[in-house]
Amino acid sequence: MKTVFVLNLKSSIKDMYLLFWSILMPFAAIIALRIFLPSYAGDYVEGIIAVSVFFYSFMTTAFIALSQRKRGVYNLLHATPMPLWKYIISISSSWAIVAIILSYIVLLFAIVINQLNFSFKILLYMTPIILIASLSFVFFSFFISSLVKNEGHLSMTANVLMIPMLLCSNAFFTMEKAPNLIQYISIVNPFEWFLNGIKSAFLNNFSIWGESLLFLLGCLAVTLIISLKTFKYSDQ
Amino acid sequence: MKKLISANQLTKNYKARCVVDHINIDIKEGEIVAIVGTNGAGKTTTISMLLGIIPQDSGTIEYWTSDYKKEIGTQLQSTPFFEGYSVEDNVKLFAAFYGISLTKNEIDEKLTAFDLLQVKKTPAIKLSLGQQKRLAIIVTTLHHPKLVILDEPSAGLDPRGQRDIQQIIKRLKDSRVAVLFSSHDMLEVMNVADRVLIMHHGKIMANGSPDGLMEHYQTQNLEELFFELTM
Repeated sequence: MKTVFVLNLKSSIKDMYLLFWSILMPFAAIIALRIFLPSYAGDYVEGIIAVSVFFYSFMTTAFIALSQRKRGVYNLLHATPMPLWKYIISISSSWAIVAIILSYIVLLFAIVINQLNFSFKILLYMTPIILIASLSFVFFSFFISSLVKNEGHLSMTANVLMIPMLLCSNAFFTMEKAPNLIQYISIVNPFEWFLNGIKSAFLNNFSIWGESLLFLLGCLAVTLIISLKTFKYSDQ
Repeated sequence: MKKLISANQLTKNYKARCVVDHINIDIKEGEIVAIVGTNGAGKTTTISMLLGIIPQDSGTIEYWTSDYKKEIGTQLQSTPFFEGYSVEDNVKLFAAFYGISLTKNEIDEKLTAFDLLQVKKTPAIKLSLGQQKRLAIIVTTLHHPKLVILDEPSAGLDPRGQRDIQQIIKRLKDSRVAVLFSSHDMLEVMNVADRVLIMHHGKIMANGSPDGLMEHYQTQNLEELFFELTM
């Protein structure tokens, strides 16, 4: 498991998707907010970190999983004695580590640009939330990649799932004035709990942090089971 | 000789089409068996069932060991490798799949033996077809299997590449490794196989040594026999 984890980590760090989606886009958002909405720029840091991790863990990994399947390597994996659960957990863990590194980079950039106060307590509480949430999103991305046949189909399917999750959360708009239905959806929206977990780490609100962590752990178990049950070795 | 695989009445249907039709296959320790057949004859489906990649609709497959995936080496027709991984990393990764850990020297030795050392840092998917086939065989034999299954190992290769693959198969036989391979090349089959199975429309039309089959069917060569049986 260690070798699979280390090799996937090495390969993931060199990935160009990673650079574009998960570092440049959040940097651009942080700079744009600083220029156009300087008084609110600091309030959106948690949202930007959450979106960055969400996009990386969900979108990038789904594309990689689809590409590997289309190449036929999962068929070859199937012919080896490596159990599927070990493979999925090993590579998902390396992707989750990359997601954590990304969040640190984005956080550091936001702190420098917006001159925010920093405490190591934020990292201490933010890290487990990002680890659990990104693992859940990666597991779910395996499920999404197994539903689709090509990149175009994957892009549409991922957007259909991700955009409502983003919009039914407090990432960019407050849910307080949203219609009741949207508010109910936000209660069961994993992305909203992920965001709450990060915000509570910034605000030192440990009861919400604990609730978020528990909810995300539940998501982790469910998504792991779904990814294992629906994993597609090949298109045939 | 001990039987490594014994498949009985193996059948596979894709929707209404029967692609493998009640076939029996035995593979014995140390023998080289070739499966030949036209495109769509059912060779790859048969191999995939023997490898446990796809389930059969009916029939049974008995292996000589309960943990057969640890003892079989596999090369698939498309020679897939992990994208974003170098040659060296693909070797390490597949070794890990078989539960073994290789030192840098061991990897270099294997790559040298297959003339791939100079491309060890190159992404595996950027190798030429001949290099990919050789890398696939390294991956196939990393764990010292008792049986190696190769799906069209020399397809698309130039004569030199084909000769290299034949030599590799012969080397495997010398090390008492059984080999099952599929091919379209009758000369290759004649050169290396102890036994040949001719498949057509999912059925096995002939099963025996190349010389024995030619004698039985009164043909001059395997190609003539193949055309006769797959008309």
